[in-house]
Amino acid sequence: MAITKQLSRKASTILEVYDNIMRGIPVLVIMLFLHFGLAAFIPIFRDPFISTIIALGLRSCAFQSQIFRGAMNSVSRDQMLAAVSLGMTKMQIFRHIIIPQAFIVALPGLGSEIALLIKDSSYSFVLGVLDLAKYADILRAAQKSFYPYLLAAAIYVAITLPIASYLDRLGSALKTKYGLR
Amino acid sequence: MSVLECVDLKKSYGRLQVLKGINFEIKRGEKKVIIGPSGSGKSTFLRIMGFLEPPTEGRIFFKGEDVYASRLNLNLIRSKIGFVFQEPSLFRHLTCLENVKIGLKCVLKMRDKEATEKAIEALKAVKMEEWADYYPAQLSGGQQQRVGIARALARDPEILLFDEPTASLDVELTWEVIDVMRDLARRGVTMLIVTHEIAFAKEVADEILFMNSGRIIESGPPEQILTNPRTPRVKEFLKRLVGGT
Ligand SMILES: Nc1ncnc2c1ncn2[C@@H]1O[C@H](COP(=O)(O)OP(=O)(O)O)[C@@H](O)[C@H]1O
Ligand SMILES: [Mg+2]
Repeated sequence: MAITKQLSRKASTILEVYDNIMRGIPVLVIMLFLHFGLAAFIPIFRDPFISTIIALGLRSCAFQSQIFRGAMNSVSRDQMLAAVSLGMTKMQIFRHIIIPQAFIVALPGLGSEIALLIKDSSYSFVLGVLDLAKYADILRAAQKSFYPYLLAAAIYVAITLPIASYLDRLGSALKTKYGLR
Repeated sequence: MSVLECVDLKKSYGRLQVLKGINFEIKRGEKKVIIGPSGSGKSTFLRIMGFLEPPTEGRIFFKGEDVYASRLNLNLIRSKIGFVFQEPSLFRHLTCLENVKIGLKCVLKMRDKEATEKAIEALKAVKMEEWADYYPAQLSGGQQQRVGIARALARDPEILLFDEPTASLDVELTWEVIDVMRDLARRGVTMLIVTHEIAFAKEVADEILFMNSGRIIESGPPEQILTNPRTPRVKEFLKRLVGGT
């Protein structure tokens, strides 16, 4: 019992350090580091696409764990005490009480995180990935017009806005329904 | 037979000693009421007697067994005790029915059908069966407390512990909760209740205990404590309680 508690405290300290480091580094720097630095030791990072995905993933993990941690803390102590009084184990309380409520509370935050993820994927053109931004840039050079940029911007908005606003609205609707804060 | 008993129970939070040596026993079928000023340790005492947190010193017996000395499974013991809290503590993302069922399924391992039947029965006992599919946010404070009582009751507990179940309710909503508790008392359920509803206490209690800064300074049958208390402290408290409301 005491050992598992110590372990989990150690694990959460490590996570916190990870979060703080990851949130402090621009995602572009992580990409460059993976693709032009680590690729010498780990061949898979020679692929710019994989470097992009991993870099975005590493950073997004840090943000999402932050969002979830905040959401889990929002579950009231009264409810946890009530769950303990029923004789539920820590795992059961986590699974049946904390996670479902934390997920609802986290929805708006997750929405903006996903939007950020999609937008930041545009950095990948630095590594030579043919993504939306890079494509617009090629078209711009060929047509000598800035319309491709406008189009790209519109497409980014068309992808991110519905996701973010849907999760935001779903989140507030559920929060009202369940009276969560 | 004694359901809960404690001997020389003490509790400290850091340097603050909240409970300073309490001896207490409640037998099957008894109803005991604790009164006392706020901050005197009533909630702490109840949480410890419900095995929600351990004492700093002293022994607690559940049906004659020393729970901490013989390292009994706390979750098993908790599943035989019903706890009703002062603050509404229903699980916000579950309906009333699911709130009552969750303990039956997770802890008592009942099958779904059996748990549903048991939960409906408990909701009927608190006259909330028509609200089974509503979420807590859709209910009044009094209704939420009644569902809380149903949740505590559904497991057929050996004892029900109530921590000022009406203290955070409007006056009009108090009676519906008190009514339910009076009903349970009539049915012979063992109850340990912290409350300042004096008329209710007088009616159902076998014994009233007065707690003051971590000690039970006076106890006895309601007539004696309420009309003829020995200590000036109790006299003064009661005078203010009756005069104040
Ligand atoms: N978890 C805790 N940590 C620190 N102090 C606490 C804790 N719980 C209660 N106390 C303190 O113990 C004292 C008694 O509180 P409580 O048992 O809630 O009294 P009552 O229910 O009679 O109002 C108070 O001074 C309170 O601040
Ligand atoms: Mg209290």
